[in-house]
Amino acid sequence: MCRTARPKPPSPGPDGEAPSRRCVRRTAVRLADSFYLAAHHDVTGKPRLHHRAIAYGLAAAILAELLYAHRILIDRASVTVVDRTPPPDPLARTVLDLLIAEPQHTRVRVWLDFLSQDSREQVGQRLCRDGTLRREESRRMWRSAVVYVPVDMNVAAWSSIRLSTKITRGEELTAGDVALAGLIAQTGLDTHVLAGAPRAARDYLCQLTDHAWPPLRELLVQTGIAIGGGVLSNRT
Amino acid sequence: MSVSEQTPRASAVSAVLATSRLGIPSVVFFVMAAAAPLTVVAGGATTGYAVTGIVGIPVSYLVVAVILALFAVGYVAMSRHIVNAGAFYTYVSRGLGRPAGVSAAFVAVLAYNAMQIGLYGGFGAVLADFLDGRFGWSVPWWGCALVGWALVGALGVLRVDLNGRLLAVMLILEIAIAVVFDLVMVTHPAGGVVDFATLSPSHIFAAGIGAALVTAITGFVGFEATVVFSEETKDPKRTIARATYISVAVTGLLYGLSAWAMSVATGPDRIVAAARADGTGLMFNLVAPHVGRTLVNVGHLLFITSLFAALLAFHNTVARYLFALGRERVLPAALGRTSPRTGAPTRGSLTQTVLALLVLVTYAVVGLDPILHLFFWVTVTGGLGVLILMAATSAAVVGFFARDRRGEPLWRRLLAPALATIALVTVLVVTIEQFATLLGVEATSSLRWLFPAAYAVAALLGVGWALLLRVARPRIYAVIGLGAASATVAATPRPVVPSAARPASHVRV
Repeated sequence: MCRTARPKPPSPGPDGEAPSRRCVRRTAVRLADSFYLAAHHDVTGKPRLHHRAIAYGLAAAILAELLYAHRILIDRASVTVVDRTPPPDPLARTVLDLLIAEPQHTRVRVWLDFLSQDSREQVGQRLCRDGTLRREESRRMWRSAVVYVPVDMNVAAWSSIRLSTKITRGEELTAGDVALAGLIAQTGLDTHVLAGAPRAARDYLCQLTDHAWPPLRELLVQTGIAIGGGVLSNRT
Repeated sequence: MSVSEQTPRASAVSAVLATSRLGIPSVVFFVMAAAAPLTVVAGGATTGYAVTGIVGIPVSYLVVAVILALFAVGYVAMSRHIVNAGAFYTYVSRGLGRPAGVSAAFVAVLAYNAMQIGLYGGFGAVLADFLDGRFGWSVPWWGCALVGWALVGALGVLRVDLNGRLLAVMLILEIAIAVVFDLVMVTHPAGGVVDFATLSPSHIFAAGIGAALVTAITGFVGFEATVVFSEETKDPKRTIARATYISVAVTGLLYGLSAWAMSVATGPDRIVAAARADGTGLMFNLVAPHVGRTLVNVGHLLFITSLFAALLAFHNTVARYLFALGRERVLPAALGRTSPRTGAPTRGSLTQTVLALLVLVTYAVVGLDPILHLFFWVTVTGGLGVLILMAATSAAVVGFFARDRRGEPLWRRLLAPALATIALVTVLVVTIEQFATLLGVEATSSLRWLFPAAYAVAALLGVGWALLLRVARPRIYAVIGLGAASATVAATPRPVVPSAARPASHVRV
């Protein structure tokens, strides 16, 4: 996905093998939260992306959480459960239960389609439960819409600012950050996150995703297909 | 997915997915809006009679419907086995090789642009005519066309699509009004006798039939979009196939019936003269003495809205084509980016808008006729391009399944596509031979070669570009036709070798 090759920045992690459990627990468990916050305005809570990109980005983030928690593995566009131990987070647990209950669905795309149906609602609620967002109902015309508004704009803005700084400086990224960066690139959110950043930052982002851990890259490719497919079939 | 919900053993995943997927009616409505029945019936068929002077237009619609149904067999079968099934060039790349694929892509961009831009001529002239007739406002056709252009351009960038339900209602009204008008015309035949002469199969072997057939094909353009939805339907195996056949059958019957009904009302011997005198107003003038003025006005308005729906549909088709090509980096990558906020393929959309403006301004400045020179000439040229694409695609289906049968029966993978290829190539040869008749110009006019030559140039440029890519950008060349995901797939050779160990020659281009 890169146009030009750049001098190689620090490697984002061991290529070809799963990131260590300790580092995962610290950074990647709440990947969907970070993506949610990056994809929504830090004050108003309004989306920065079209709904399909957010829905699929979050769906991929939920799967990535399970992937980094070593519960599932993704290979050649299909997903397999490798560890049935329930994760502590209720959302991740529900999704894992479903994956276990319906082993006939192995295609990553099917799970992305399925999870994207209400991924925004689910992750929004999770962020509400831990007090990062608060639920507000707004009435527009005759319909009422639910908006999740950040409680503290600094917290909300942090995930994308931190990532953009690291990428712009060409710093080494944790495994979780690579996943977040990949989702941001795949959904087109990089135009916002890296707004004003030099060309080198974009190239670094490209390189991060290209050289990402293979299962993650599979997931990112499938996410890109799903979002791109929506453009072609006019359903974004 | 609901956190509180218990999972029943019957697949919850399938059940949830089914609710968000498209059924046959949605797909049919979507593609038929692009085919715009009333535009074809009131605009295409009448202008076809007038320009070509051929009375066999009605039977041509029926013959083309049969050929296209045959084409659809292999086309739909192949769509199940490839990603990015929405674009003709994908089929051609996978079936006939990448140079042919890029060549098809260039032809497609030209053809769909021609379809879209030509429609502005119809839209501008018909709207100007309506405003003049109803309100006495004298507006030049290009003024009306530019209003349509601005609206289409804005809706394209904002990615506001006409609401599916609105399209469905409009489409049903269009079909209803066409059927009502047809009944009125058939029950008031010229000379008191219902004459079936224009439906006689003998016209197929008459001189100039190529012109009539490509006019008919132009009317069907848009039906091929059903496969775009293959990943979004409830049952991809059946939904797409049925939606395609239904679209072809409904439009074919409607076009054939309406074109025939007009010839009944005027008498087959007078249809050409009447079409030349009344132009796109023919159908409305024929029914006006027998139905209320309101109904005629409603018909006129629906004609205008159907033109607009077709304009927007083809605009989006071009934008998506450019997006798909940009994603594969066959064209500049910028075309493959979408607006983060709306998901619209912004650059592709703007490119089409600018191109349309250039053509409209040229036509207005030179003072060419909007109906004859823009609407008819340019849309049938678009139809010719789509005919070329369909012929190539049909051959590609044969080539694709020749390498791997993929469990498809003989009829779908070989017989139907081979027959369709023969039929389409025949139509193509006859059309090009008779292009002068189609344009209504002298046989010695250089124009008859100019329009088809544009495709030859596009095709050659495509082949040249593909060969250039093969040498200069082998990574891009390798993934031509692999679909929207190709950019990322390209960067993902089977990831067994750690990146640091990869040779320097493997860096991205």
